[in-house]
Amino acid sequence: MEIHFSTILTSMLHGLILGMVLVIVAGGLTIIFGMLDVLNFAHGSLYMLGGYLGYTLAKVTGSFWLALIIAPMIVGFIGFLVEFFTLRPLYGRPPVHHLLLTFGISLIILNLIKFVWGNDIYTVSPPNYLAGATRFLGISYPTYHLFVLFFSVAVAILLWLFISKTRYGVAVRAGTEDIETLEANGIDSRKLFTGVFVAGTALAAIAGVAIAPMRTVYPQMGIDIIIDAFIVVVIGGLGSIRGAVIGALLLGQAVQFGAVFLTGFSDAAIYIVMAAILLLKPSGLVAETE
Amino acid sequence: MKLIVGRKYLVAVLLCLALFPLGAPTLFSDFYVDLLTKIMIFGIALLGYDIIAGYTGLVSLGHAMFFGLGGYCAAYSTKALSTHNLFPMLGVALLCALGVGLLVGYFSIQTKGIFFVFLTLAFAQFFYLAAFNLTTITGGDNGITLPKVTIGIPKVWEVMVSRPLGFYYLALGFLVLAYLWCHRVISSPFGKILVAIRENEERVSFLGFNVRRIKMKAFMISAFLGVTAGVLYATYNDFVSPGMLHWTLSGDFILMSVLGGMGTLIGPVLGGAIILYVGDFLSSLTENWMIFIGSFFVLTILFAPHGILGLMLKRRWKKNDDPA
Repeated sequence: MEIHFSTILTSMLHGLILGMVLVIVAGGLTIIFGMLDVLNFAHGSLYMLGGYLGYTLAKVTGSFWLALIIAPMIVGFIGFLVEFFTLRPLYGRPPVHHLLLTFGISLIILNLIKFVWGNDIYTVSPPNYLAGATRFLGISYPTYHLFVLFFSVAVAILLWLFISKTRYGVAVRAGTEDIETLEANGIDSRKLFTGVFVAGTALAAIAGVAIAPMRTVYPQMGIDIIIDAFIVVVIGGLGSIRGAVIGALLLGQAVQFGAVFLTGFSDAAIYIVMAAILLLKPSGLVAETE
Repeated sequence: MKLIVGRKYLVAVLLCLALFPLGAPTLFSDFYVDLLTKIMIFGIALLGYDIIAGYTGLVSLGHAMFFGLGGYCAAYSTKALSTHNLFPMLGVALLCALGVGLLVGYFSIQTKGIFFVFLTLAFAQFFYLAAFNLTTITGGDNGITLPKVTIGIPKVWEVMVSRPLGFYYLALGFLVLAYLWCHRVISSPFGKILVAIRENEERVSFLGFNVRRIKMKAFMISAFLGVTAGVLYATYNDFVSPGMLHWTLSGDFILMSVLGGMGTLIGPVLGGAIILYVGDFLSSLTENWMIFIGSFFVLTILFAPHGILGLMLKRRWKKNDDPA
């Protein structure tokens, strides 16, 4: 097999974009887990809901940007309902219970989406100035893909600034370490939990809308992303944001290079990566439980 | 642990199941015989799943791996051994389960909790992807068609299993055997250790038990019952496809177990029956019937963590000690 530099570059870019989108989705998942001890199975469905709402909003309002803002707000509100009515009564039970509960919720959301939008595939067109392709380093690459790359990097940086520089960010980080001490310092952990869950689900929706023009909106998109995102969170060390970022970027490359080198068996690449990491380091890449 | 559902109830249920097909097709259509056959086949897999997930506390998201493995083993043994007999198929499947179970179990058992969930998922997806992508061997998404099976002594005396009645009683027989085996396992000292591991693994190891080895045995029991159910399911449908290996089926196993009540043996089988029956009923009304199953499941986790069986037997449990 002849591998050109351009093939490698395109694959790396594809992998990087996939990795960055996974950073956004799995980042929300990780913060939620780190804080609430909830591994949110519904995250993929909420990402998907973001995509579908984005499609409809973009069609109704005629503006992609408006969709990118409003859809995450709606999904965030649904996240609020989920946290307030179903997760709250369960805090303190083993994490597997939360996984099961959110599994049920994801089934509900998934099938409600099917009920409303049917089994069709929808294409979302990006703003005109982001359509077409850009040429650089001898390859021609879709402009919108590059926008997704920069956009997700920007979101990740904003998220990082928020967590490391603001008062709320300090509370979130402290909550991941020790909830009791945080409460002793006069912070209402319930409100914080709700806030974190809402923010995490809104992030999933942002990713869902942003990726829609790239990959279309289709009934399997929730299931496709959730396993990948879970793998990222698990190999990252369950709750470690740094681990999730490394895991997401690693997985993005594994998927793309799997597609190039393991033709016909490319999907196995992510499972190989996960099994290898879990067997070598059973508590993930960056274990922060101590 | 005492028998959670009294023996007389179980005998009554068994009697009803044994007499049930006599009502068809006069009282109700053959459709219900068919549905019950499927429920009983799923029941076998769910019994095995309860040993590892319910009793040992290791929730696996890869049980479909064994279910599908059984299906593909059945398909292969018909080709390789040119037999239509169920027993050689079962033999091959159990041997494969031994190999795969030891390999997957060895690695998965080193982790627990959520890591166990995902490691079993990863292994199961390997098999799914292999079945899906190695089209020359497995037929890919098209699957493999199986011949009608026979039972008896190979090459000497074989009878074709009739449908729907023959297969119904075959499934019933296997379900009863599986239940008796599982019941024997959980009421033995070994079964008590499984529950002890679920409750506090560290203490069990301090008592001098080899926890990993015990978990491994539990994992193997669930593997054996999983492939048995898989062989029956594939031969009953005369068909095996990668769908039998997909993780969503593993998810269904969890759904059924939790809904019925994990760690009770009867509960998961009941849960499976409810989901298969209600699912069939609802799917004739609306395509999106999983909305209802999902809501029902969420309510179960919120208000009845011990499942429907737990809810039904709540009063009795309060009198005695909590069984699960």
